[in-house]
Amino acid sequence: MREHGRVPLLASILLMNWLTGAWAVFRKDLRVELRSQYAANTLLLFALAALFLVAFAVGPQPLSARVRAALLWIVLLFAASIGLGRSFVAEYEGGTALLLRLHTRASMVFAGKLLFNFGLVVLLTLVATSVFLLLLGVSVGTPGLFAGTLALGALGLTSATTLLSALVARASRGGPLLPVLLLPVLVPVLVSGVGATRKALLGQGWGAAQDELLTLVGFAGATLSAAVVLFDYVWVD
Amino acid sequence: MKWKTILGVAAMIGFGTLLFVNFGSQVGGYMNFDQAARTGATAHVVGTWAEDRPTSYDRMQNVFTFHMEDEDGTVRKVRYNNPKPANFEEAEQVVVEGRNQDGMFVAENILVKCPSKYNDAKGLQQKASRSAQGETPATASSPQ
Repeated sequence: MREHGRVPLLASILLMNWLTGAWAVFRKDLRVELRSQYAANTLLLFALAALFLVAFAVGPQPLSARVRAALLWIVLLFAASIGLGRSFVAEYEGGTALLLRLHTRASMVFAGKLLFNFGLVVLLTLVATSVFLLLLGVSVGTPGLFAGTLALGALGLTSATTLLSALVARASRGGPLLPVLLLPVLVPVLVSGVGATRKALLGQGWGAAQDELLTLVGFAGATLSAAVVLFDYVWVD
Repeated sequence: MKWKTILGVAAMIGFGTLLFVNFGSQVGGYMNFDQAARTGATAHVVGTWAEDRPTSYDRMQNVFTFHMEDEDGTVRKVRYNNPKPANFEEAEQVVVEGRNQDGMFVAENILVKCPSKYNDAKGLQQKASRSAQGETPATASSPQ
């Protein structure tokens, strides 16, 4: 009976430990970010500038739903690829990577950074999408599908970006390398995101966008599981 | 450590399959009529106009219907809720974009590939021989 009770107890202690570690990494990043607001400023300024330019360039002409969806997603993808690479680069530049490596396990670092980046992408998506809807005067036919597509897309975008930015941060002057590596990887997110967003703008139901949504789920799942397998090697070696 | 890798790779393969199976249907290039009927989604079908089957344009309802033979030889009726595209008779190849509905293919868009005016291609000879016959089935059957 005693032997039986011990294993779940041990597992739950390990899980609690892991969650505490990941949460600590997240809180550290959040605190650093709140002091400098570097990433949030980069993301939001880039997205807002791009959206205003799009609005001026397009003019008063009504666009088709596909073009609208494509513009929104391109702004989101470029903003994320420019603004999200910072968190790992900062660890190496500040010399804190070694300290982090000593005190936490690789998976905790990844989970904390993933959560932090996800928060940033959600903030970016909320701001950029509402500005986009206001500026271009877009009405959304199926708000639920629209929000669901953006949420799934944000998850895939975050997981791919976090893993690749960890890789790129190891290279000297890796900053400009991130968009080059990232954007080809994000093609499925772009295509399916645009497809599902177009259907949401046109007011079609969830069933119509099934292929696109499953692609987004598949992409997020594949990149997350790739990160689980690969991040140890990226971080420790 | 070991089982984490195995589990991770298995999850990667699972999600990757989900990704590619569903992604393929979105970027998919051309299909034939059978595939288009099976997916039920919007598809591009390449083929040629089956001239020997009835072709008509209903002016009251603005519906153009014709039969098209795809690259695998399947002939299917195509409905297009627009007037007949320009140069339709001269086309050596037709691409219809649309979906299957009640046993026929409802096209949202028709692309006609016409022989170039500037090349001495065999398409031009086809066109010449067709105009030498004096009439085309599409104009003959459309109500005047």
